[in-house]
Amino acid sequence: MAGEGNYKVKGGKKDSGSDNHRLFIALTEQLKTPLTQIARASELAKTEKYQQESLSNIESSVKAALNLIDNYLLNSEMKIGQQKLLLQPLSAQLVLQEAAHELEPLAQQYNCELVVKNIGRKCPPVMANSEGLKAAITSLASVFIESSQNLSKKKRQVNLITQKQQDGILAGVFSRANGFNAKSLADGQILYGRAKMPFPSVSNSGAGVFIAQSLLDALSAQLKFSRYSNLQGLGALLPISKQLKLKVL
Amino acid sequence: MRILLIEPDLVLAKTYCHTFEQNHYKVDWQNSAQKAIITADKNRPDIIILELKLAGHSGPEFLYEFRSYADWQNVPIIILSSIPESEVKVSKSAWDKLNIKRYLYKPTTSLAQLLDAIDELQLVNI
Repeated sequence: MAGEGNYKVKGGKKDSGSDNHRLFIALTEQLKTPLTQIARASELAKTEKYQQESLSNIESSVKAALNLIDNYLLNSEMKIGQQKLLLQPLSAQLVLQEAAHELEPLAQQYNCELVVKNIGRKCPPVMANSEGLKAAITSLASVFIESSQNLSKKKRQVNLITQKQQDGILAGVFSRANGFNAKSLADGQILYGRAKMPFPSVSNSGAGVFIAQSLLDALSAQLKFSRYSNLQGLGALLPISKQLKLKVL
Repeated sequence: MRILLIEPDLVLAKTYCHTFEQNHYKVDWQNSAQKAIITADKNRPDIIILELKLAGHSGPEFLYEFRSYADWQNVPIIILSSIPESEVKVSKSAWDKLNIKRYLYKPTTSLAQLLDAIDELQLVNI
């Protein structure tokens, strides 16, 4: 059951100047990947045989870079008060579906299949901000997709899951063999990547997790490490909306 | 000529593999140090191309492990990393001991430059 033994991710909580610098390092570090992909795929596209594949890789890498920049900007604008994320009742599952739609090109590029599902009882509306939650989920999911450990031709599943829990609704990203162990996820070690140590034990810089945590703080939600069956992941624990109190069947 | 590519990013790995195969190299790709050691033992690569930033065991850990085997002292290794050489806190003598042939900064190294570096190593090893 998701939520069994789930707990709040440590690290990255303090909003100090050095944390901002770490986030910036992680972000720029992470941007190197899509930019390098674009540079190399452009070279390869000159070869007729791989033109089609290279051009679609370029398109997906540009989208990934822009998505990272947009989420970082939203987070920064919010921090300086230029952008306010108003909380309103919404369906977390619909936000996950929108996030999945946005992530589709990246998932295809990394040979992943995105699965949106609800576990257990039907989820009531949560108090959140649609744009902020979507940005947090796409940031988290990008980390899981890009950390693909899939060498086979078979598509690997990345699951966007909602689940009603005792203290709210969990909306998160779960997968198997995602390249980081449970402890590094739970300890928040991937929050900083190279910003914290020269050779971290993860290949992804963790900028997406860092941005997600910051956005979720603004939504009065918590970033939690959680397990579901043989999957592990990170998710937002969102407060249930009490505005309408409709009975959910 | 067989290359072992150790690269964590699937998209980049595919691009490099296409390029090597187009240029008539045989290539094995692995995304972790552990799997790379097993592949090296099985397929005996002629050249290794290594990213230092890996999930689990890091690139430097792979290097020390790999060079600890007597058979693998002279297999040429090219580092192709998104970490600039200036930021890697490894002394010149340590690199020399690990027998690193070239250090290439991945974001600015073109496919053509990488192929040139491989060709140069082949010439040296003839």
